Amino acid sequence: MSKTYELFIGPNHPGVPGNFSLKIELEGDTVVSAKGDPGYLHRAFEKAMEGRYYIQNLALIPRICVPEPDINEAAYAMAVEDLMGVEIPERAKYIRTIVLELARVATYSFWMGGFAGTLGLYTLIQWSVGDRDYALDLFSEICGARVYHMYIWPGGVRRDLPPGWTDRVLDYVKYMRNRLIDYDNLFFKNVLFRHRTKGVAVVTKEQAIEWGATGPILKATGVAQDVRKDDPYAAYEYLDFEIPTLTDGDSWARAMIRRWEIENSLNLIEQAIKKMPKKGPVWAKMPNPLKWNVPKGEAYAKVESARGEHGFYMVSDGTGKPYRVAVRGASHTHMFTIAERVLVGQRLADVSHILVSLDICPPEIDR
Amino acid sequence: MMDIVNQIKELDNVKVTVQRENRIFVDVDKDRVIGTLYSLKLMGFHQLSVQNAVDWIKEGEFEVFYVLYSHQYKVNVIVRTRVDRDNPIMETAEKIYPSAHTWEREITEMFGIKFKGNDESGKPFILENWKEIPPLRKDFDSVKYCNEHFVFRHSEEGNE
Repeated sequence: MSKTYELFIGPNHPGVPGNFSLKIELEGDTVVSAKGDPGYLHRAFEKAMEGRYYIQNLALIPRICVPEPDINEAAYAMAVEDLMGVEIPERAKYIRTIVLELARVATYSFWMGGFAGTLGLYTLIQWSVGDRDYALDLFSEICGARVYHMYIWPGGVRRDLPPGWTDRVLDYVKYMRNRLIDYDNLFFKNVLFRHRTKGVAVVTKEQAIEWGATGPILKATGVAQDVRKDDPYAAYEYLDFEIPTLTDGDSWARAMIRRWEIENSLNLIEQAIKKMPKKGPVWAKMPNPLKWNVPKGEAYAKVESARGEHGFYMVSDGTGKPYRVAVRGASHTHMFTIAERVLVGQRLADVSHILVSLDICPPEIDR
Repeated sequence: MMDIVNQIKELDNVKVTVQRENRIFVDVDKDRVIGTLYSLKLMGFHQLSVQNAVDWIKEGEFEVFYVLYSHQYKVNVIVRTRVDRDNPIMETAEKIYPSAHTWEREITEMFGIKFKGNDESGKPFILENWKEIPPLRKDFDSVKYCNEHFVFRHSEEGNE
């Protein structure tokens, strides 16, 4: 008689943020092997993009990552600008930075709720999803949409900021700083959180490098690798910030890195608003969308998402539609190369929170 | 930056193009790609960001590309190779970059390029019960596929 049995996690499960399934083999309640099963969210974006004009694709790309759509817009726009040799206006660079950092705060707020939920702390999700909504309100002011903004586009941003918007963003920054104290007291200083996550699902520095980890997983092992610093885009080169690192490499360290990243983002937003030119164009003039031919060539553009390096590899054959667009989501590597290895030997009760601590975003995998 | 470019140029049979700061394209023959990747990893390009393919149907070839990154040099190297469209078989890179395992599985499904040495190359990944030609090939007609497999609902009919 076999000593092990199989169990399906997902496709709908609190431990998996989105439709994704995981087949685990257990002996007692210890994981013997884990295998990801993607495909529930496949919408053929890469194929669909080949048949549409560059401007039409703007409606598709934010949907590649649901919790944080803006990184897709930024990477796509940067790839097109790279191919066309366009330099975007200064003010647009700062606006992009503010939007991207605001999106990061919103994403981590959402993540925080999900993570606490898998540990049984349901109060936090009520708070943090509510706080994310305030950021979404700010987004709806600049573009009319809450989740999918289509605001960052090739050449800059779609339109200038509405009057008083930056003041309302600063109010939000102030509000979130106070909220972080509440989050610390409720969650990050909570003994229960520490006991459940300390020493769980450890990824060592060597493993993280070997397996190709990026973002908080890599930072939690002590490597200060961040696209914002290493290959600056938008206005990051003008701003002063540090990359948070820890050396523990466990579930706790990854959560703490994200908590510090929220603080980092709030500082960056404040700095960007202060340094942003008060006037000036926000969009470099681009061709008529229907006659918008992008020069032949290849480009790889990357940004730092909440999960790690997010990139677009774009091939143009000189026509008005991209010849090929390949998307690199951090979750692809984090799920199949890291999670499948790290989950082995863990307890069943920890599987959900390990998956959330690795921050797997299924739409990024399926595309 | 020029240091690393010169080091890469010293590798056998590679064509190096510096596109801009931090982006180096390296074109190499199919048979030499694994050796080149191995040498690049030893130079410090420890991270495989993405591996995927492009279908150059008019030239009868697939292009397989590997986007590598070195934290030490803060440079992306993009290794490109061509493989015959009629006989798309090449060596796996999973022994050098573990994350290549799943990228290759995806490429096999989407383009039909087989990777020797990867035991999951060819196993269903994202698509379920797929019977057509691999969908990211340029000769796959997605409109025709939709017309054959899905029923369209016309809004006018619902309003009557």
